[in-house]
Amino acid sequence: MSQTPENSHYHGQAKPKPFPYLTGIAYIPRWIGGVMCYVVFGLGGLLSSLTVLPVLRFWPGSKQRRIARVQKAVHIMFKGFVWMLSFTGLIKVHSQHTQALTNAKGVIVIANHPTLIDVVVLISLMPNAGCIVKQALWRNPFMRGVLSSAGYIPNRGADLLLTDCQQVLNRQTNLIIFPEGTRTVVGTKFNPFARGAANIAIRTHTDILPVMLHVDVAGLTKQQPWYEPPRQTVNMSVEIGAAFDHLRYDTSQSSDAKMARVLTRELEQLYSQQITALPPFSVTTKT
Amino acid sequence: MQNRDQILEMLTQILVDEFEIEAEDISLDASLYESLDLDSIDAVDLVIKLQQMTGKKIQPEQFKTVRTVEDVVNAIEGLMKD
Repeated sequence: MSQTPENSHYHGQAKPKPFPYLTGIAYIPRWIGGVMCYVVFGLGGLLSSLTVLPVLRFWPGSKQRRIARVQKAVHIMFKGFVWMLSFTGLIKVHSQHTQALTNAKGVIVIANHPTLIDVVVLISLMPNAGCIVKQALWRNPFMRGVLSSAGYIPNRGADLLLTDCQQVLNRQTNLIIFPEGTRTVVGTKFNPFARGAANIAIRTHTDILPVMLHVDVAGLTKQQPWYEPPRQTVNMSVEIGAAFDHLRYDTSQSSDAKMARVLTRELEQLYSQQITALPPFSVTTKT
Repeated sequence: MQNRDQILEMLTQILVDEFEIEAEDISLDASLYESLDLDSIDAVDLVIKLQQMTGKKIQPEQFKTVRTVEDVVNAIEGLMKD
């Protein structure tokens, strides 16, 4: 498999038309819609972990079947949520050529991280997705139920993490990792990649499927407060790159740690070629 | 391998060979995670490598508080005395 960024769906396709910038009274329904999204997300998480998720979790079947069921349910709920984000005008997702993502099994899916809802978009396109979730969230009584029934991975330190990841990947779950670690700083292409994704790929002998999230304006970034929904709807185009075959990173000649560095550099190179910088905030885009 | 210089030499060799670190960046006060850019998975590898080289078992707790090159040297020195 080659890594040349050919057949780029995003670049091959007409760029989506930018949305108007809302000011004054026109922003009021957008603001209400934006706040509603947070409310629905929070309530949805709470209600589903009290109703449908326990049913799916305790419905008979092997552990693997039960986890797959919960992952599918989260996938469907997030699909609905992406529809709501689009209805309220926060973000419009363009994901016409993402079959490779939907069909992926037991691979590591990496993506750049421009917005708050990237993981929602990715899971809405994948019926069998897993994530690594920081340990603090596992102590949160509202979240713990969902996280464990979906077979997500707590970050319990490096050595346990690798075993946990191997187990989840063996189950044919795809593992979503944002190598940037946190959302992209506005005005840049991406934050420097941590080597976790590459290390997990090399040590669990797993391919990496790179996803490029292209956005046309900065919205739902880390630098904007949650109660200020974007005035200009964010167009997000989801592009799937060619997979990085783990066999190309042979560790028989060199240490795993070194190969992880090589792979991380190549991943950064791909994103550097494919991603344009997250535009800085501007008021000149008013229409 | 009792004295500190020898321990530092061994550690430097591991860092250069296994982790692509430049020898001139390694000093006693260099921090492993910030200035030498090791991550938590590298730290596990480093412990395994140190165990192989010294033939001593290293408890993860002994390595929890390690931050700098000097901390590693101290930890190894302590192990060799036991």
